[in-house]
Amino acid sequence: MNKIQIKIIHNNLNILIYYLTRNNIKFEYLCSKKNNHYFKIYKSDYKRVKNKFKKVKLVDYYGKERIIKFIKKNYIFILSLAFGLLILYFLSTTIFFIEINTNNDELKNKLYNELNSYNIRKYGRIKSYKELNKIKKDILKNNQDKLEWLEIKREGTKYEVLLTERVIPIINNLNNSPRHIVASKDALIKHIVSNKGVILKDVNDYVKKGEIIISGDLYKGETYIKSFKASGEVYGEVWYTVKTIIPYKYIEYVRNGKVINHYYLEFLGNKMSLIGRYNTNMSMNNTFLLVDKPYLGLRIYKEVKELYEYKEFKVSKDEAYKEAIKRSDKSIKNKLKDKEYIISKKVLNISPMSSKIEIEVFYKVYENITDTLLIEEKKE
Amino acid sequence: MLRNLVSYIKDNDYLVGVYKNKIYIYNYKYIMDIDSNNIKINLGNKKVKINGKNIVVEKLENKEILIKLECKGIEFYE
Repeated sequence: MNKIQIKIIHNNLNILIYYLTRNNIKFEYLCSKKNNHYFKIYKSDYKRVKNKFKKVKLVDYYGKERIIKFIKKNYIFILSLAFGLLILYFLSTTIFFIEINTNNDELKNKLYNELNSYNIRKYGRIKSYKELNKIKKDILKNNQDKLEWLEIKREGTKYEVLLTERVIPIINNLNNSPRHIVASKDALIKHIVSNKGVILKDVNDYVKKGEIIISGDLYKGETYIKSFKASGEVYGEVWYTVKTIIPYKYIEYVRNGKVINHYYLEFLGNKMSLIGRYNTNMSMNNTFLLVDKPYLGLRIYKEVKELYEYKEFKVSKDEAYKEAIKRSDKSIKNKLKDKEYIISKKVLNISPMSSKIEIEVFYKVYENITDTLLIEEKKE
Repeated sequence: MLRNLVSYIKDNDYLVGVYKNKIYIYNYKYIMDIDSNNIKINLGNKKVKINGKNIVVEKLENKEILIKLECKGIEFYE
C-alpha cells in the first residue's frame, strides 16, 4: 500500500486527529507549522480526507510511487547521466594508442601484426590482466629466436610494449672464418709479426690500403689447397700533414663560478617562471624534470644555469708558433695507441699574417696498420 | 508450552507501553472513544481507559497506536 504526505490547513489539530481516529483512517502525525498540519496517510484514504476538509494538499509520495515520480520528473537528467557513464566506460576501455619500444622496424611490424591477431589494435577493447599475460607468453613462445623479454603495459588508453631483443652470437663463427691480414692504410712496412699465414711483403716494402700482407690462402706450387685464418700484426710508417691556425687574439669562455637554479612550470606548452628567473645568453644550462602530470598538462622543471664570461687572450708570434706546434702534436698523439709513436716531424710551411699564424707540419708515425679481409669460399 | 508457541506464532497478545509523555499500544482492536482528556481503547478481552491532558494521537496503524499526552492514569477493565 502506497503512503503519501498531505498538508491540511486547519486551525485546530485536535479536530483533525479525532476525525482521522474516529473514521479509522490510519495516519502518522508528522509536524505542524502554524495552521499547516502534516500527516502521512495511505493513498486510498486521501479522497475521504479531501472530501471532509477543503484545504488539503498532497505534498509528497513514499515507496515505489516516489521513485516513479522522481524518474518521470528527472528522466532527461537520468538518461544523460546514464548515457555519459556509458560513454565514459566505453572510452576508458578502448585502446587509442599502441607503442612498441624498439628501433627494429621489421620486428615492430611483426609485433603489430601479432598483436592484431590477438585483437590488440587501435580502437580495440582492453584485455584483462589474465588475457594479457597469456598473449605475452604466446608472443614470446612464437618469437623465441627474436625476443628475450616482453612486457605489455597499459597506461590509460595506451598499450606500451617493452621488449628486449635476443642477440644471436655469430661472432664465434666469424672468428674462425678464413681471412687475410691486409694494410689498413698506405704505409711503409716497419715490422711484421706473423703467427699463421704466408707473408707476402717484407719490411721496408711500400703497401697501399687493402693490400694483402699475410695471406690466408695455401698453395702448393700453383695449385690452391685451402684457405685458413691468417693471424699476425703489422706496423708501418704512416705520413700525416697537419695544418694549424692560431690567432694572436682569441676569446675563451671562462666559468665565473656562479650557478643559478631556475624553477619553472610548463602548462600546456607555455613556460611560467616560479623562482630564480635569470635571462642571459652566457650560461650552460642543464634541465631536470621534477614533477610530471601529463593528464593535467603540467610539468615542473629545474634549470641549472652555470654562468660564463668572455675573456680575451693575446699572444706573441713566438708563443703562437709554439702553441700551433703543440696543438699539431696533440692532434696526432690523440690518435695513437700502445706501441705507436711519432718517428719524426718537420715544419713544412709557416705563414705569419697580421692577425694569425698558419703552420703546416709533416709527421712520420710508427703505427699498427693491421686489418683483416675475409676470404670468400673458392670453388675448384 | 503449546499455548506459548501458538501465542508466539499468532501474535495476538496486546502490549501497552508507557513512556514519558507517550503511550504505545500494540495489538489493539479499535478506539471506543476519544476526546482531549480521555481515550478508551478495546484490546480484545480487556479495555483500557487512559486519562490525561492534551491527548494527541501521533500514529494510528492497523495494530499500533501512539498517543502523546500528559498522563494522569490508566485503568484496565472488562
